[in-house]
Amino acid sequence: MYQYDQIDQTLVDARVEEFTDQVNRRLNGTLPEEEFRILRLQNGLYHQRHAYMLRIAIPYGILSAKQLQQLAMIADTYDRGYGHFTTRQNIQFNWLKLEDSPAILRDLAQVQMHAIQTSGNVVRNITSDPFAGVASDEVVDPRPICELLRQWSTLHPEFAHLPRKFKIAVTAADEDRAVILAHDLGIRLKKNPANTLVADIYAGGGMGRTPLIGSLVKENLPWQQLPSYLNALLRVYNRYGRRDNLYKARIKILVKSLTPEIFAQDVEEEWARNTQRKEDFMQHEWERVAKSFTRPNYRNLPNLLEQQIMAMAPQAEQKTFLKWLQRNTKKHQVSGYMSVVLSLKVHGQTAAGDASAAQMRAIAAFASQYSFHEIRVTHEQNLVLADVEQSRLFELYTELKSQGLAHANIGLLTDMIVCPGGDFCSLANAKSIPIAQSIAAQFEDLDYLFDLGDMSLNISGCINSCDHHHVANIGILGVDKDGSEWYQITLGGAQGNATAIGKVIGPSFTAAQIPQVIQIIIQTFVAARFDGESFIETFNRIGIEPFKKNVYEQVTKESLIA
Amino acid sequence: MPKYIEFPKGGQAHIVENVWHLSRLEDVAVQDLPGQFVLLSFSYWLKNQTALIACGKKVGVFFQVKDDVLEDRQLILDSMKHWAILAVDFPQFRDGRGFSTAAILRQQFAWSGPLHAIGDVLIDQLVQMARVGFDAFELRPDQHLETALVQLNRFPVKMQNDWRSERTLQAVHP
Repeated sequence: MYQYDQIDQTLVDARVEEFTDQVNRRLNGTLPEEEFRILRLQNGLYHQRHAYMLRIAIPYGILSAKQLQQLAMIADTYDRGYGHFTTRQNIQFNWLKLEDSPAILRDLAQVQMHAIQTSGNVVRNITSDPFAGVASDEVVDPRPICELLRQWSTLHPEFAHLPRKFKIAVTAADEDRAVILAHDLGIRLKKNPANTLVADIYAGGGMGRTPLIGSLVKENLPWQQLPSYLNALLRVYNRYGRRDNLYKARIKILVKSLTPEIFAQDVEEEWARNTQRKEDFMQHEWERVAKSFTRPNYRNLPNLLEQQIMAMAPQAEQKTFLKWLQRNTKKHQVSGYMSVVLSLKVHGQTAAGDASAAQMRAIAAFASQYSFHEIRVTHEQNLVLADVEQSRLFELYTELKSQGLAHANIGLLTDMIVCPGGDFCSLANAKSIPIAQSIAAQFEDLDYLFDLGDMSLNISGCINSCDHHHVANIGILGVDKDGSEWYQITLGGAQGNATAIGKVIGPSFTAAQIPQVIQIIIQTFVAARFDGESFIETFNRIGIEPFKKNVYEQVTKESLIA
Repeated sequence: MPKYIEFPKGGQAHIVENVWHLSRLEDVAVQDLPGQFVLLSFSYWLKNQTALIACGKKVGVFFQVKDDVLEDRQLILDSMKHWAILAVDFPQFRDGRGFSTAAILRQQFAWSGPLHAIGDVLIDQLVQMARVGFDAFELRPDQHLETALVQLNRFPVKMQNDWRSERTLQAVHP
C-alpha cells in the first residue's frame, strides 16, 4: 500500500499542529464554538449526543496491520474499546473528549493516518472498490488514481468552504462496488481503444431528501487531466451551488436544475478558460505513487476447486465451512488466492460495522499472517483480507470463528448497512441499531437466509441517508412524527451497475411493527419467486403492489400514520 | 488607524496600517467619499465611474458574492487600469465563493495588483486565502492579528499548485 513520503508526513504533522492550536483557542475561549465547529468538522470531529465523535479517514479503504493496531490502541486509550466502520471507508470513535483530540491525531499521524476532510463542506475521503487490485473483474487498478486524488484534494485551498459536502467514489471493475452513481462525483476508470487510462465522470448523484442517480458529464477524460477537470467542475459548483437552503446545497440539485447537459457545458467552458493546466498529474507523479501498488509477492499456486478447499475441513464442519466459502470469499486475479470478507454483522451482538479493540488486534494479526499485512474496509461495513491462499482458507476460517468474525452472511439479509442512528447521532430522528437487532433476531437461521439469497437491507436513522437506504432492496428510514420514532419502508432500490432508487410502500410503521413488516415482505418474495431469482429480480418482475397489499393487509394494526 | 495583514507573493507577512476607506454605501456622492484611498463596491463603480476617474483619489473596488466576475469579465478587464487595489467581500466566513472569485481574478484576469479579503475574514481562513490569490487580509475587528500571522507559516508543503507557487510534490520528485 501507499507509504507517505516526507511531504505527506510534513503536511499531516502540520495539520495536527494547526488543529491543536485551534482546539487550544477553543478551550481558552478565544475561538467561539460557532466558528470552531466548522474547523473541527473539517477535521472529522463531531459533537454528538453523549460525547465527541472522531471520524478517521481510511483512504480508498486500505489499512495496514500496523494502522489497525493503532486504531485498537486509540479505542482502548481514548474510547470505550471499540470503533465503528462506516459506509464510506472511515472509522468512527464515539466516546471522545475534545481535549484528547490533538493527542489522537498525533497518534494517527505516527501511522500515516489522519481525519482531514472526513466531514464539513469539503471534498471528503475518496472511496473505492474494496477489492481494488485483486478483483477478478477489474479493468485497471484504481488505487494509484485514488491516491493521486487523495493528494490533490487534501487541503485544496479553493474548496475549503463549498456549499455542502462533496463525496467522490472511484471504480475500475465491471461491477461497481463503490456505489459511484450515488455519489456527488463518480469516477469510472477504463482503458480506451489505444489502451490508455481514461475516466468517465458522473456528477450529481446522491441520497438524502432528493435521491438522484449521477449523470454522465464527461467521457474518456485522460487520467492526467483529472485535476484540472475536477477543479473546473468544483469551481462551477462552488460558485453556483445553492447556499440559501441546506437541503438544496448538494451538487445534485445544481446538476438537476441546470440539467446535466448544461452543467457539463458550464464545466467544459470553465475548463477551457484554464489554458495552462499545470495542476495536471505528471507521469513521474504516477510512477512514484504506482510503485506502492505493485503486486505483493504471490506464490505460484494452482487454482483449487471448491470441493478441494472444502475437503480441508473435517467432515463435521464441511457444511458450515462451505456456506462461509460461498458467501464470504471472492474470486481473485491470481491463481491459488481468494479474498475473504470478515462479517462485522454478528447477529444480535453488536451494531453493524462495530469492531472491538480485541477484534481489531486479532484482525491485524490475521492480516499479517494470511494477507500481506493489509486490510480493506467495504461500503457494506465489513472488512476484507484481500490476498489469502486458498489452501489456508480453512485455517483462517477457524481463527475467524474464534473471534466471532466468520458469520457467513455476506450479501444476505442480515448483512445490513446500519448507521449509528439515534443512539449516537444528534442528527438522527430515530434509532437504527435496535431495529437492525430486532430484524437480525428474527432471521437467525442461516440456512433460511442462504435460501433467500442476495439481498440488501439498509437502515438510516434520518433522511441524511448515511446508510444509503434509497439504494437498498429493502430500505428503512427513521422519521420523526410528533416526537415519536417511525419507520418508512422503500423497496426495489439497488446499488452497483443497476443502481436504482427504491419506492416508498406507504405509511410508516412503529419500531415494534418492523420485524413483522420485513417478515411479510420476505414471505411475499418467497411466494412469488421463480427458482433461483434474487429479491430484486422478483421485485422488478412483479412490482411493488403485491408487497404493499400484503404488508398493509397483514401487519398487526397498531396506529399507522400517513 | 485600523491595521491589516499584508502578505506579498514571495515575501513575508506583516502588519500594516490601513489607509483604505471602505464604503459600502451605494448612494453616497463621489465628492462626499472620505479620504484619499477609497474602496468601493463594483456596483458603485459601475454607476459612478466617470466621476471616480476624475476625482483624483486612489480607487479600489470590491466584489460581493452577488457579483459574477465571469459575466462582467469585459467590464472588469476594461476598468482594471483605474483600480489601485481589488478586494473580495466575505459576508460570512463559511461562504466560499470568494475563494473562486480570487482564483479567477488571478488566473483568468491576470490581476497582479493587491487583492484584499474583507468582511467576515477570520484567522483560520488565511492559509487558504493566501493560496488562492489574496495578499492582504482585513480581518474582522475582533480577530487577533499576531495569532493570525502565525497561521501563514504553518504549512511548509502543499499538494496543489496555487497562486504563490507550484505543489511541493513536483520539486521533490523530479
